[in-house]
Amino acid sequence: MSWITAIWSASAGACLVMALLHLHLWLRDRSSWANLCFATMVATVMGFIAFELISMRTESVEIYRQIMRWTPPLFAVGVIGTLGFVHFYFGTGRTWLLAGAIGLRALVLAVTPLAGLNLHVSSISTLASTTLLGERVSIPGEWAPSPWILLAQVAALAHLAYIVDATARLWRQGDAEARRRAIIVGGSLILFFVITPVYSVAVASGGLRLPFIVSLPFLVTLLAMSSELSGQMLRTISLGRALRARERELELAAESADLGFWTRNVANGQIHCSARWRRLLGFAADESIDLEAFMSRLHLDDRPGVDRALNESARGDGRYEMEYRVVRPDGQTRWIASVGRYEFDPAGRPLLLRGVSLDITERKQAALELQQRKDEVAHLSRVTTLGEISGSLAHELNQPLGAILSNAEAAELQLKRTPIDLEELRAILADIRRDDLRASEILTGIRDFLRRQPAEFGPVALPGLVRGVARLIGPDLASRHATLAIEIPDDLPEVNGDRVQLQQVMLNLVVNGLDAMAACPADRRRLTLRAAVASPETVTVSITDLGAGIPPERIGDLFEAFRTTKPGGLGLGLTICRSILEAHGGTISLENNAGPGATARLTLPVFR
Amino acid sequence: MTQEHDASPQPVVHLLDDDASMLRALSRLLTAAGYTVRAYASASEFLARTDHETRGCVITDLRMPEVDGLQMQSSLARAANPLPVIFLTGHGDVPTSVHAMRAGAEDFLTKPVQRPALLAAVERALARDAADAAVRRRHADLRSRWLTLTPREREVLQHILTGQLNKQIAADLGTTERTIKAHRGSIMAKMRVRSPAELGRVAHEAGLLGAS
Repeated sequence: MSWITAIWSASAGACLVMALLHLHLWLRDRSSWANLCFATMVATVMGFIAFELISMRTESVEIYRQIMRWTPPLFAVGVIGTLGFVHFYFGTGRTWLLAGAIGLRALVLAVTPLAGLNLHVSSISTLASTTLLGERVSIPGEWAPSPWILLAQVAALAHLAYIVDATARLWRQGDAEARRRAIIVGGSLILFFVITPVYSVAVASGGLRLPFIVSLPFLVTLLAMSSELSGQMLRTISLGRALRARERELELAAESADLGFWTRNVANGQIHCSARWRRLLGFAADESIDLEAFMSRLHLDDRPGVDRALNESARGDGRYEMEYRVVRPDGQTRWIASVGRYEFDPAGRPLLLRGVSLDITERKQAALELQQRKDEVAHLSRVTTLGEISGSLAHELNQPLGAILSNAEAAELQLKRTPIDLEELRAILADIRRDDLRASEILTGIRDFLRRQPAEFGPVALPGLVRGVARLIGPDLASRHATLAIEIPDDLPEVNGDRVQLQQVMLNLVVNGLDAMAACPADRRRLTLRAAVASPETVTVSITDLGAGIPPERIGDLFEAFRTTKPGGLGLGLTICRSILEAHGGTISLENNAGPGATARLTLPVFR
Repeated sequence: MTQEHDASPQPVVHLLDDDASMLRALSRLLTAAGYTVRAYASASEFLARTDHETRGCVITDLRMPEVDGLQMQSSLARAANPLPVIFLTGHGDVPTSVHAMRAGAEDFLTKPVQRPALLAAVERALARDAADAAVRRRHADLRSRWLTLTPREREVLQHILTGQLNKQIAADLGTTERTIKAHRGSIMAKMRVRSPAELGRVAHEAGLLGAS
C-alpha cells in the first residue's frame, strides 16, 4: 500500500467533511462569515492536496510547471480565507494591517507572471526523483529560483503580523475563553505562517530535496482550529440541552402557576402562544390567532382600554400591563391579567410583543365582593350620618314646604277678593314654583346621598361638592351657632372620585368638627374647609376646627373601628372615611393644630 | 281688625325668618288675612325696631344665624313691651319646645303650618297681648294713684289693709281716731274707691301690700 496515497487521500477526505460542515453552517446562518472563511481554507487545502499528489506522481515537466503556475492563486485564496477567518472569528484584528496583508498578497499575484512559474521557482527544465515514505516521488530536477522570493517572504511576514497582532489583542481581553482561542487558533496559524515560508525557502534554495508540501502543515493547523470550533459547537449543543431543560422547567412553572405564554408579531399581528393561553381565552388547539381574533374575545367594555395600553406601551418604554375580561365562546367571562414587553428593532420600531397571562377571576371576584361589603358599610354610614343631621334635613325641607303652603293659602284668600290682584297671584305662583324646585333639589340630594350603588369614579369638581355639603349641614350650623368658611381657589382641578362617597367624607368630617366645638364659646365655633393643589397629581383638602383637639393618646387609633371620643358615637365614621380615601388612592390624616382645635387633612388624586 | 287698643288701633304681627321665601309667604298670608305685618330677616333687626308702643305679637323661626329664636325670646322678655311669641320652626325637638313654652311662648308650631292653626295662634297671641296690656295699664294707673298718697297716708293704708280698726291704728300710730278717719277718707278719694273692700281688692291687684 502507498502511504502517500493513503495519507493524502485521508487528508482530502477529512478536508471534504470539514468544508461541507462549515459550508452548511454558513448556509444555515449567513451572518457566520467565520464558517465560510473556514470552509474556504479547507477547500484550499484540498486543492493543495490534489496539486501535491499530482506533482509527486507526474513524470511530465509540463504538468509540474502547470501546477507550479497554479499554486500562487490557490495559495492567495487560502490566505484570504485565513485572514478573513481571523478577522471574523477573533474580531480583534486591525483593519489597516488586514488591508496591507491582502494588498501584498494581491501584489504577489500580480508580479507572479514576471517571476516565472511562481515567486519561489522561475522555471523548471527537468524533473528528478526522491524517496518519501518509501516511495519514489517527483521533485524539480534542474530549475532556477526566482529573484522575487523576497516579496513572497514580505507578504508572508505581513500575514504573520496581522495574525500575531489580532491574537495578542485577543489574549489581552483576558478571559479564559478568549485566551484559549488565542492560543489554539492564533498559535497554530502563527506556527503555520512561520513554518511554511521557512520550508518553502529551504526547498526553493535546494537545501531540502523534498517536494513543496503546504497541505499537511496547513491541515494540522486546520485540525487544531477545527477542534476549537467543534468545541464551540459542542458547547452550543450542551447549551441547547440546558435551554430545553430550562424550557421544560419554565413550562412546569407556568403550568403550576396557570400562566399562558404568548408572542405577537407586530408586523402581521399573528400571535403564537402556549396551549394554556389558548385555553385561557377559549381558542381551539389548531386555530390561527391574530390580534383581531384576540380582540374579539375581549369584553366589549375592555377593548378600548387594551387597545390603548398596547399602543401606549409600543410607543413608550415597551412595558405592557393590563387586566381585562374575556368572554369565551362558551359564554363564560374570565378576568385575565397580562404582562408583556415589546422588543424593538435598532431603529426603535416594535418588532414583537412577548408576554404572559394569568387567570385572576377568583382574586377579582374576592376583590369585588370586598368592595361590595365596603360599599354597603359606607352606605350604612351615610344613613347614620344623615340620621344624625335629620333634624337639619327636616328643617331644610320644611322650609320650602311651609312657604308653599302659606303661599297657596294666601292665594286662596286673594281669590276671594274683588278685584283679584293678579300681579300678587303671579308672584305667589312664581314663589311656589321656586320653593317646589328647591324642595325637590333637597330630596334629590338626599336620595343621591343615600343611593345604594357601587362607587363610580369620575371627575368631581370640589366647589360644587362642598356647596352640597354646606347646604345639608347649613341648618345644623345655624342651630349650633357655628360658621363654615369655604376657601377653594377658582382654578382647582377636578379630582378623580365618587361624588357621593367624597360628599360623605366631607360631611362626616364637618360634623366631627362641629361636635368637637360643641363646648366652645359661640364666637370660636368656626370651621374652615380649604382646598389647594399639592402637586400636579394631587389636591389636598383640610377641615380645621377650633375645638378641644384630639387627646394625644388617642390620635393614633382614631381610624380603628369602634374607637371614638364622642359619647354615643359608634366609632365607624373615620374608619369608613379612611377606607373611602384608600379606594380613591388618597390619604386621610388627623393632627392637632398649633393653636386650639384639630385639622383633618385629605389628599385626592387629580382627574386625568 | 278694628279692635280698640291703647297705643295703636292696629296690632302688628312681627315676622322673623332668615328664609326670604318663607318670610314672603307668611307675610302675604297674614296680610291677606287682614293683619298688619312687619317682616324681619333676623332677630337683631327685629330687636332694633323702634315702635315699642305698638301692640301685636311675634312669629319667629327657631333656627337663625347669630341670634336664634330662643335668644330673641329672652331679650324680648326683658323689654318694656314684651310681645307674645309664637315659634314657627322647620323642625322642633321636644326639649326645645318645652324650654320655649316655659319661657312664656304663646305657641310652638311646626312648618308647614295650616292657616287655621296659624291664625288661631295669632288671634290668641293678640288677645293675650291686649289683655296683658290692659293689666299693665291698670297696674300703672293704680300705681300712679298710689303715688299721690302722702307717706303718712301710705302708712295708714298698710294698717287698713291688715284689717285694723281706726281706733287700733290710732293707738299704733299714737294719734287720734279722728285723724285716722280723715286719712282714710283722703286715701279712699285718692285711690278712687268707694268701700274698704274695694280698697283691699285694688291694693291686692296692684301688688301694693307691703309697699312703702
